[in-house]
Parts: sequence; C-alpha cells; structure tokens
Amino acid sequence: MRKTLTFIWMFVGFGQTIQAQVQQTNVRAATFLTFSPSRNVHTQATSYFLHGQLRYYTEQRLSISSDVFIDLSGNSSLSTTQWQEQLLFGANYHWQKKGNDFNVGIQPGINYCKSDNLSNGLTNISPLFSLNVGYRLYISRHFHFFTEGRFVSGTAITNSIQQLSSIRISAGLGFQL
Amino acid sequence: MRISFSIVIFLLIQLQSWTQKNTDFSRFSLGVRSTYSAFSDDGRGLGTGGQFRLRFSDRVNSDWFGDYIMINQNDQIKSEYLHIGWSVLFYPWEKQFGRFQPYILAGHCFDYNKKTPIGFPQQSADRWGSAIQSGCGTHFNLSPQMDVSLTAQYMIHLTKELISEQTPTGLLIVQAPGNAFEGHLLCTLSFNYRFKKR
Repeated sequence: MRKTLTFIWMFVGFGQTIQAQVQQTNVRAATFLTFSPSRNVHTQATSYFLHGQLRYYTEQRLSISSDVFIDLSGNSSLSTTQWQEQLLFGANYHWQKKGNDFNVGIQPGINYCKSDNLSNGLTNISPLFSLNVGYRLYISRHFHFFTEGRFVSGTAITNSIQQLSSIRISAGLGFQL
Repeated sequence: MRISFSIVIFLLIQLQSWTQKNTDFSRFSLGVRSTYSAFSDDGRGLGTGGQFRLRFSDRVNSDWFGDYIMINQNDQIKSEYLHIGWSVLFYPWEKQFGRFQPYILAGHCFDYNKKTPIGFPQQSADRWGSAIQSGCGTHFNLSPQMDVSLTAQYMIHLTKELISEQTPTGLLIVQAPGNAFEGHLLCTLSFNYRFKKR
C-alpha cells in the first residue's frame, strides 16, 4: 500500500514539475502498447496481458476507444484455457486541465479463448463488460504518460466454467497520433 | 447486354446522386451495448452487441440491434442467445430533463437459442424463433453527438423453448411442447455516436 502511494505521489509530483513546460495539445487520437498485470477476483489467480489501445477524441470531453488484451501467461491464469484474447470497444468521458487528463469509461467486449480440455480444441466467444478509470499526463506534442485501472466482468464456458472477472492495471508511455 | 449494362450504370449514378441529396446523417447513430439478462428460467447472463439508430422525427426513433447473450444455467448447461431485431422508440416528452431524455420502446426480433450441456458439446440442441419486446429507458446526452442509454425491456419468446431432461445417459436437451411465452428481462447499457456535423 505504501509503495503504491509513493508511486502515485512520485507520478503526480513529476507531473507537476514538468507541467509548466507543457501546452495542452489538441489531441485527436492516441495509442499505446504495454503490459497489464491482472488479478482474477474469483480465483485470486494473477496473470499478465499484452495491452494495446487506440483512442479517438470525438470532442475534448469525449473519446471512443478500442482495447485489445492478449494473455501472455499461458495456462497459469486459467487452468483449462490454452490462450485467450479480449477485444473491448467503448466510450470515455474526460476532465482535462493543463496537460492532465482524467477519464472514466465503459466498454462492452468479447473474450475469445481456446480450451485444451478436448483433444481437438474448443474455441469459445463470450461477452465481456469493462469499467475503466484513467489518468494521462501530456508531456509533449507527441508523447504522454498514462495509467489505467479497469474491472472486467465475464464468464467463459467451454468444457468447464471459467470466471473471467478481473482487475487490471496498465501504465506506460503513449503516443498522440 | 451493353444496353442493359449502360442502364444499370445510369441508375446507379442516379441513385448515388439522390442519396447524396437526401441522406441526413444527423438522423443516424452507431453504438455498442452490454446487456444483462435476468428473470429467466435459464438464469442470469451477460451479453454484448451493437446497434444503429435511425431517427424518423423529433418524437420517434428506431433501434436496430444485434446481441449475443450467454447464460450459465445452474453450472450444467450453457445457454446462448442471439437476438437480431428492431425497436421503435417514442419520446413522451419532446424536451429534455437536463441531459436526460426518457423514452418507451417496443419491437420485434429474431431469436436464436442454443443449449449445450457443459462438458458434452455433442448433445447440444438449438432453435430459431421470433420474439417481441417492450420497455422503457432514457438517453443521457453527453454531448449533441454522443449519448449513453439505459434501457429495461421484457422480451417474450413466441416459440417453443428448449428444456433439459435428466436421462440415465445424462442431460438431454429437447423442445418443450407448446409455446410457453416465456422470456427474460433485458437491461441494456449502450453508448451511441451520432453522425452530426459540428
């Protein structure tokens, strides 16, 4: 907990330091690619995803975004699943001020996974719903730091029932397009 | 052959010209949606889908949607629904209440259901049918271009339901005799982008 607070304090402090140098750019689109640790709220299993996002600002306070999550942790995250990919698409509402950008969003989506329970494999598509909150700090015309937290809800049924509901955190460097 | 081809090209050009003059994209919006299904014999489930809207007038809108809903039925059966349909939205009040704009809606949809005993995919059964739905909801207009909508509607299936029967060899999925007029309550959260010139 203390480490998390220290990290947040450093992040905000760093932002305040460079804020004077930053001019809020009229961002139209942004993207990033990062790793996202995840914790399943039912099984408490941890896993990590490759997380990519494309975001388009329809106006200053609103954006639409699409997120792709690819499970890189193999069988450790879901015991009966070989691999899984998730695609989410939704809208976000923003509060922007002096290079700082807070947002909340909702995203319906789908989970695509393959079970190794059967010898011939069994693919499965299941619905997902995601709530996310995020913060961006624009440091130049082309770059920004970001951090996002999200709750993803869903269930996959192949040869068994797998709860997909999880909490995820993503952070890193993003690019304005 | 050459004359027919020329006529088709001429008609296509005329159609394109007419479309450009008469299409008002501010009446069109596109969105995605999440649906929560409840109060059903199958149990509760989550769905994902998409929709577009065509607004006919200030008081009347239409919703054309597709949903995929998956329900875990007592940890024994996977029940999948596919809904493809349309609803007419009527706004009782022309004015908005702040950012809210309530509506009532009713419509029809084509309804596909597939039930699979978990662990025994070879014993699945499916059926196509028809359904009607009715309910109410509200838009929350984030801006003139984008809204979030929350809708609650009850859908009645006008077809024979699939039910499970316990047999010595395991669960068997069969069609119930007669139309039961069973259905489910669908709560839908959607966001929609309206193609309106700024």
